[in-house]
Amino acid sequence: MIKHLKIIDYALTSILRRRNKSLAIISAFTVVVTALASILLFSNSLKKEAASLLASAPDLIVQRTMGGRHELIPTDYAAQIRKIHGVGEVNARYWGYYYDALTGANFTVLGTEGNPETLQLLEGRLPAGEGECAIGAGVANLKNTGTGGELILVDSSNTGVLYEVTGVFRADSSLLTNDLIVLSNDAIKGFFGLPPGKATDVAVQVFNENELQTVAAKVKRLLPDSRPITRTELVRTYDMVFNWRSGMMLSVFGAALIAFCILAWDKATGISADEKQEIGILKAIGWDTSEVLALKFWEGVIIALTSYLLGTIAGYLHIFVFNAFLLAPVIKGWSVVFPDFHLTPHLDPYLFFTLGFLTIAPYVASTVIPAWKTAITDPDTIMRG
Amino acid sequence: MTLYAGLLGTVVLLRWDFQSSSAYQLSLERKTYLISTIMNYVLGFQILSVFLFVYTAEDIHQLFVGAMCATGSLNANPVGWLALLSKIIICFAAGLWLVLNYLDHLGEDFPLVRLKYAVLLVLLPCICADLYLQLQYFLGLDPDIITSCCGSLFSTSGGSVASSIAGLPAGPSMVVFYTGFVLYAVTSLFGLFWEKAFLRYLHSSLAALFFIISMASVVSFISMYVYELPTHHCPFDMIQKEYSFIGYPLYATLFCGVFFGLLPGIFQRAGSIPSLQRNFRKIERTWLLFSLGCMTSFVMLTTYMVLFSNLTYFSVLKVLAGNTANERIIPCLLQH
Amino acid sequence: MERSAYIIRTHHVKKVYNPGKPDEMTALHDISVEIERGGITVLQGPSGSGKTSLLSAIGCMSRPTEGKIFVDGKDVVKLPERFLTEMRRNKFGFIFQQYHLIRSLSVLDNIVLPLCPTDLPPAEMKERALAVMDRFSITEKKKMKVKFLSGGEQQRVAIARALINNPDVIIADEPTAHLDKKLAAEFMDILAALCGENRTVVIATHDAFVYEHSLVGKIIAMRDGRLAGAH
Repeated sequence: MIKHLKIIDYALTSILRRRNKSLAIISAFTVVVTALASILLFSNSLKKEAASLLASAPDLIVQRTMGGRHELIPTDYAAQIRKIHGVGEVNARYWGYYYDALTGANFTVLGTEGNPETLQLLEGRLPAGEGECAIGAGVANLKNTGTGGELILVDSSNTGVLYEVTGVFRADSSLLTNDLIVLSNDAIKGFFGLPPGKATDVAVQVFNENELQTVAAKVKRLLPDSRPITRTELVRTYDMVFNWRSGMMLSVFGAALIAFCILAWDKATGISADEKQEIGILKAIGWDTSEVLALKFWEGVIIALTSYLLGTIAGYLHIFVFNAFLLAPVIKGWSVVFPDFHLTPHLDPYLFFTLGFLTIAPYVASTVIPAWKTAITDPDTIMRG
Repeated sequence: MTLYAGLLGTVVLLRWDFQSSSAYQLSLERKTYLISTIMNYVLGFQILSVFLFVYTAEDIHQLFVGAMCATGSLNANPVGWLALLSKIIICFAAGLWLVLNYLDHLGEDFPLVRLKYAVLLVLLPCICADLYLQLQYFLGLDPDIITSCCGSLFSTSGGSVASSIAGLPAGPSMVVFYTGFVLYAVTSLFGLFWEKAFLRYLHSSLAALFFIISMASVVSFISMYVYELPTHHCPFDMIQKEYSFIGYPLYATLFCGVFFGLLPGIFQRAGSIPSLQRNFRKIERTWLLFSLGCMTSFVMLTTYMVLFSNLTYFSVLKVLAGNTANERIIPCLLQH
Repeated sequence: MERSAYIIRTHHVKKVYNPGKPDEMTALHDISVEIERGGITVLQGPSGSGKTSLLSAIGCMSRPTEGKIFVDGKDVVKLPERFLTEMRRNKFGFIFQQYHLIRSLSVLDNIVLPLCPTDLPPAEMKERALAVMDRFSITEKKKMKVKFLSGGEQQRVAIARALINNPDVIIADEPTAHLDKKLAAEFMDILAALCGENRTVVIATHDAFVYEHSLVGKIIAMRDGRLAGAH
């Protein structure tokens, strides 16, 4: 034990002594880890956001399609669906998108019956009457308003409508409510100019999760022009987007890339004559091959751990403090929908563990053979000069 | 890399000639360093990968309809069970190889070198098979499969092996568990003072037996106390966050204890090799002590959970009554 | 094991470098010598005569192609490498021609290096190092990097390093090659003192100053890898 501590100590000094080489390796390695960490953190937190979004999603959403496109759904469909066995509450939902020409942003406008339990963490209260609204933090920021303030929106007949802001959402996960404007159901019908008796879609509660598929099939049979979407299908869709398997492939690819970089680096630099002589000296004065191997192992671990820590911290800062400014353009879709693109910091030990495993292990492994080649240096080479 | 080690191992096995002082023999001797380093890495990797494998299975359960923990994910593609089993076996085997290697290094004449590389050659295809199984498992996963989870596999009413273990009455299995441990501890203590070969064999057989008893106990009663739910027998749920990851120390101490408990018997013959005799007894003592230490922590951890579980009152009653029939009623009351 | 009067014996030792290759070279032919416990033994001969090869073979640094070498009565030729290392670590202290110090390390760090891969606690290691440094009056330079030291100082660091493990045998290869007369005399005084501590010193040299020194007990003369006669 003491022996290994002393070898680690020696490994540290020898890394410090070869400052330039160590710095070069660490910075190259850090860049790779940062890239990998950014991608993993980014997709993981999107996944978490999506999961929290889904947790509040209804069991079954029924849309109406016409000509293969989403169409407004008659509200009396709701009454018909309610008659199916195993169906609980059925609510017609009113929602849409609003383009704000002034700020150039897209908002989601949602109607409410006054009690959407999913939209908690509200500062103030939900709108009760026609002239009131509750807004997301992003909207409040962009429109420079807050609880007790006013919000002017242009409705479908191109008239400005004044709403009093009764509440602001301060959700943990701002992705959920950031761009949200909540109006009362009556207000939203007037605002969008929805024809009477039509809603955007219908949310259906199903008591038993196992019956979801059956209920969906029944809805489809009962209302041939409808499209029922179950929550599991939504999960599946989200998983298509952030497919874990592709994430895994990515990680494996990343690991391979690292290994390749290290290998290339090692080929390019190799062991300097200086280093070779140093190992020879160590062996001559009583270090064993296995101890030199241990020395090289610890050197590798120190370098890999340093790069891992630096890279992970850089990746974390990049995603959560600098709002993924390098990755965001790649997935433009998200940044258009969400004017203030800001992810909730989310720490998953598994992710960091995997990342560590995928970066440290290949590095240390790729140094085995070069290390061994150094370690078997014949001690009497230095005697023969 | 393992393949490379295997190739080197073959060469060493075929060309090893300790009497020769040719340069070739010297280079072979040096290659043994490389092989043991690689094997060290492989073992480290395997231990981590058991952990990762279980954790990944745990993590992806939400993809499968009906899966609530690792059991569900493993059920989604039955190859997973094989992969898990092979991972655990390889962990043990790689550990044994390293011990063999260590012993070989103690002797001045490489006493175990041929055996060592022969074993390595057996180990190699196992590692490949393990990789293959793992790959098969992950590629064969299909999110559309509706799987059954621990609730059904480890339910007390069922025909499978797992459910019959789960259905073992808690009282008697506790008795067997603690008797097993006391027997094991006593043999260990005897083993520390008498260096008789039969004691070593007895010790190792007991270690193996205790492993089986412990795994059965985990399913049959330890799990109940962890979940504080007399019907829940899943051995995987306890590594979840909800149970403060208690499964990790539990399994780690058990596995270590069993591993070191097996060593004295397995390597009994090595003790009679002349060049090893000097150090062997000392090492054996260390194994015995370490094994006993791990086993004791495992049993103490278990006892702690049994004593401080909220389930205590109920199960004492049940043990006293020797009755498992009312287990069926409780789930309705305790269901989350 | 009975303590023989000879600490090192070689028995028909032959050393061939690069066997079977075009640059094959036989450095030692059939060398049988005995080195007595305590006292100074000199391997004398011109460069290329096989002194260094013999030195490295008896110092457990390289294995001879044929023959036997007994250190303290134990045949070391057939030992696995790690036991040779153990021998080097416990029995021998080496002083090289080029000193072979690690130039970017401090004096202290260089001196403790042989003890690094042992389970000796760091505090004790340092204590031992300070003791030997004190003896060779380099204590005040302990933090200095070796590359800033003079030749004489470097050699004293090398001697201190060779003594840190309290060896039975000191092996020195051309120790006076880079020293002036005064320093060489000083060096011989140090060796004399070491012999007084019941250590054995083996020196390879072609410097007449060394092998004609009054303290030298035995001279083994070598030419072209063969013994040219022992006095």
